[in-house]
Amino acid sequence: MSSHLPWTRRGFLSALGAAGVVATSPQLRAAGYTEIVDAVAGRPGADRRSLVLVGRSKTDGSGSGCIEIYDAEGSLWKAVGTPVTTESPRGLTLHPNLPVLYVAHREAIHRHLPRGSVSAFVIDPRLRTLVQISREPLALSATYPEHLSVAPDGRTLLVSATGGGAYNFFALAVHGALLPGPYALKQTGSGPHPLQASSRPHASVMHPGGSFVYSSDFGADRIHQIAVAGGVPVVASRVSFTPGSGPSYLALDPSSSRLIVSSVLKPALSAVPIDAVTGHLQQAVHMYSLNLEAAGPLAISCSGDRLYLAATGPTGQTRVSVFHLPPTSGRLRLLHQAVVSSIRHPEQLLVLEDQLLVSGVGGVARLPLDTGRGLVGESVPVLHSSDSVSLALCAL
Amino acid sequence: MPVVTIDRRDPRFETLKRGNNLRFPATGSEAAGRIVICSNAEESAAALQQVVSSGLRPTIRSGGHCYEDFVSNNPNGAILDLSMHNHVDAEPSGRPYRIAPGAVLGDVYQSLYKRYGVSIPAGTCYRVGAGGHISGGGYGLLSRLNGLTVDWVTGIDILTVDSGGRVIARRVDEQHDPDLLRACRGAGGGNFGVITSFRFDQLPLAPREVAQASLSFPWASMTQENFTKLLTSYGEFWEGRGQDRDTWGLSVVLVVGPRATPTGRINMDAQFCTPDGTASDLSVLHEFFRRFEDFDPHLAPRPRPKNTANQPSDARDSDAVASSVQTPYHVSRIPWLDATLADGGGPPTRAKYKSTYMKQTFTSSECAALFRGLASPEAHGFVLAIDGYGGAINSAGRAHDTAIAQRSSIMKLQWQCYWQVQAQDVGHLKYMDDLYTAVYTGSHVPSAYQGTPFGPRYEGCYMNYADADMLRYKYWPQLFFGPGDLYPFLQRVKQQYDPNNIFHSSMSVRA
Repeated sequence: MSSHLPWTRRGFLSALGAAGVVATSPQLRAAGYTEIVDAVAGRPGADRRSLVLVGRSKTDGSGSGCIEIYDAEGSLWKAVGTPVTTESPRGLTLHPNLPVLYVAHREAIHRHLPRGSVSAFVIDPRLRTLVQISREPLALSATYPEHLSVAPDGRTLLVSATGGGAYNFFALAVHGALLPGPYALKQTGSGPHPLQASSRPHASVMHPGGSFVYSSDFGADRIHQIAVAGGVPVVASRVSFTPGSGPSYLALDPSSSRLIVSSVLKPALSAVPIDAVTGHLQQAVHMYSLNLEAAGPLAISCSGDRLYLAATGPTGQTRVSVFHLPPTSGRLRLLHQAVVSSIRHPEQLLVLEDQLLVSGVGGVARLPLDTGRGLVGESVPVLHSSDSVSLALCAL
Repeated sequence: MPVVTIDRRDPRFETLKRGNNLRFPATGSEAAGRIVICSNAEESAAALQQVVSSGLRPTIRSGGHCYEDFVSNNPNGAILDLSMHNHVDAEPSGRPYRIAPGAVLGDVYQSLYKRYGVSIPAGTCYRVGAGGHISGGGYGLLSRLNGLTVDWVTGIDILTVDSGGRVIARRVDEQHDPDLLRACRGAGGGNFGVITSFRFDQLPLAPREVAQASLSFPWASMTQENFTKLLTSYGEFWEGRGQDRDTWGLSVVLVVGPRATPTGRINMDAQFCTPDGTASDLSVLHEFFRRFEDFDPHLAPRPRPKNTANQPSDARDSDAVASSVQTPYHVSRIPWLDATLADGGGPPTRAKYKSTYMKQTFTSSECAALFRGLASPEAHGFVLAIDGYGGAINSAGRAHDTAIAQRSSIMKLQWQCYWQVQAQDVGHLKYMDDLYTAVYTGSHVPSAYQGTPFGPRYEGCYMNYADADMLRYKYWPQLFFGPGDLYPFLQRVKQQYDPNNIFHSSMSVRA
């Protein structure tokens, strides 16, 4: 594997340039631009090409799926290369320093044993290809992995296995491949909701310093701080949420002073302060009650003053909300909301300079942002899919 | 005395990280991170709590004879070694009898016999630990007469882990957590918790003496036709006459090995006693062996049994029996305890096992596949033990209050292969798998179950002869737990008593 491109973390966080106006036309379709629809008239911005890696998982229980590559320039997404067929790809995550993509295979059985698995693919941006360089099973009983996090130094990958109640930590080789034999950290716990019969690790976010990872446990109503000391992960601190809350999605404030948590079962947003020295979690502070059917993924702007939430509203529609996030403490202030009609069950929310990408069942939708006024524009589907969709973006 | 914890730096680690099957752990990275020696229930509870609270996976070892990697393959986890928790006694009132999980069968037999005059109808290898053996059913030479060991279990003490991660000590019986009791009566170890005591309100009286005799059939004179007749005749006995109660004191193992060796032979080893625990009337034994007179049987060499009291053996002079009746076998009448403690089982080695429950005698197809396979040069180290089965085991009611569904079989097969060198693993494993698959391929097996002993002629496999090869079949739970509602029942028990799936292996009950 080789690459001449300067892979930077900032580059990965930026993606599509400002949406241009692109009209659907027979000529575009003939040129291979698939599933392009009328885009919103947003602010024109510098077109910036990106590779978008899209993991599609069938929702029919078959476990089939694929990973596609899109060449994204502005609002145009063009499928390139050959899709990689693979089982239930979820939690697509990029290595911070290498052109390597990590994929969780949301499965209950791998090679006849009760466990999920994770793959690593090398991305060739010139050829627009993905080449699998490793696939490793999780520890026994760690099933249905869904979320991945990579340490800033690129040496550790954390897998949250929602089935089996365990975190699996993989060491990564210098070239990004997964090393076999993950370290399993098994959790216990439960909640009053029928979906909380046991521990269910959900999302995770790495502390920029690399010594800790913060993770949510939907089943046990907890947020953990897991320290990786000497290669052995241990729970360094944890906070409990109200029984039946179902804390799931996480966003780390750019100052790393707090963790914003969206709880799914009793929809609400909370802030968990973080000790500046130890990284320990402190008692959660309720920030906002949500009139929703289920809360969903979060994102915080680079400026740190905007919090974005994708959630399922009372009528089943997906809504994106923009909040003013106070600098230290205090309540959130709702600024704006927009309906995303093409997406159900939102799973991922990416904030990219002046736009949001929301993915879930239904594909991917893009919403332009007016960051100054805290407004979000009308959503535009950029990718249609009846499958569950997970994204990773990298700048070119 | 503080609990002993052995980690990788300890010189004992390399020995204690593994059990009797030297294939496991397969690599250093698969080995547990520590072994915790637990001498009683309190130590087990404390150790288990510490392991669970640390986020590690516990696996449980009693005697270390697990056939697969359920215990030893535990990367960074903790093995709770219960071998020092090994008492065999009774409540002060005399009942119930109690067997701790770390007691090896030889000590169980001695203690129960010498103190109380009773026994459990358990296995023949006296170094096997009670914990795993009884959890998975437990059967041996007295099972046709007295049933399975789990048929006699009336209570257990067990440590479970609740949804919050707390260790709970439970005393389980028909009145307290009866579903958990039933599940622990045969589903196999390592599923629901750490058993710290088995309790028996009653146990069968141990026989006073048994008669042993053996025949052998040289491969050199064995044609495929004769081999087929031998196996089918053997099976026909268990199908028919062997179901009569007066034969239930008869246990026979037909031992079949490779036929490539010049002196190779098929051995038929029998043990018999009457229901009153003596060997005074051997008519059933003689009746059985007469069935094989036409197969050119030879006298099988049989070592004199060890005597537990270091006294001259009480074995009746077998020549006196032979002189009055012309038989190609010698019958030895020896104290039951001597006979039972003669077999300690083999030393640690590399091994692979499979199993079959048979409801009918052999078909010509099965015999043909075996005959071919036993001629292979890869058959070195292979042994097929074909046990006569049934009798008291096949009590229909026991399928509903134990977790052993197989209550209609007349023979039970243990497929075994032993070798020393790791480089030979692939060859031996492939040989076993190919032979087993070949035997169960054909019109005698329904098309949906080709390659496995499932269908009208079979009752699947035995979990204590664990075989991870079976995981490649989606119906593997039905192979081991039957096609009925036992497995769904076990899954409900699992969800209730181990909601976080603390206790798991590749073949544990899946919640």
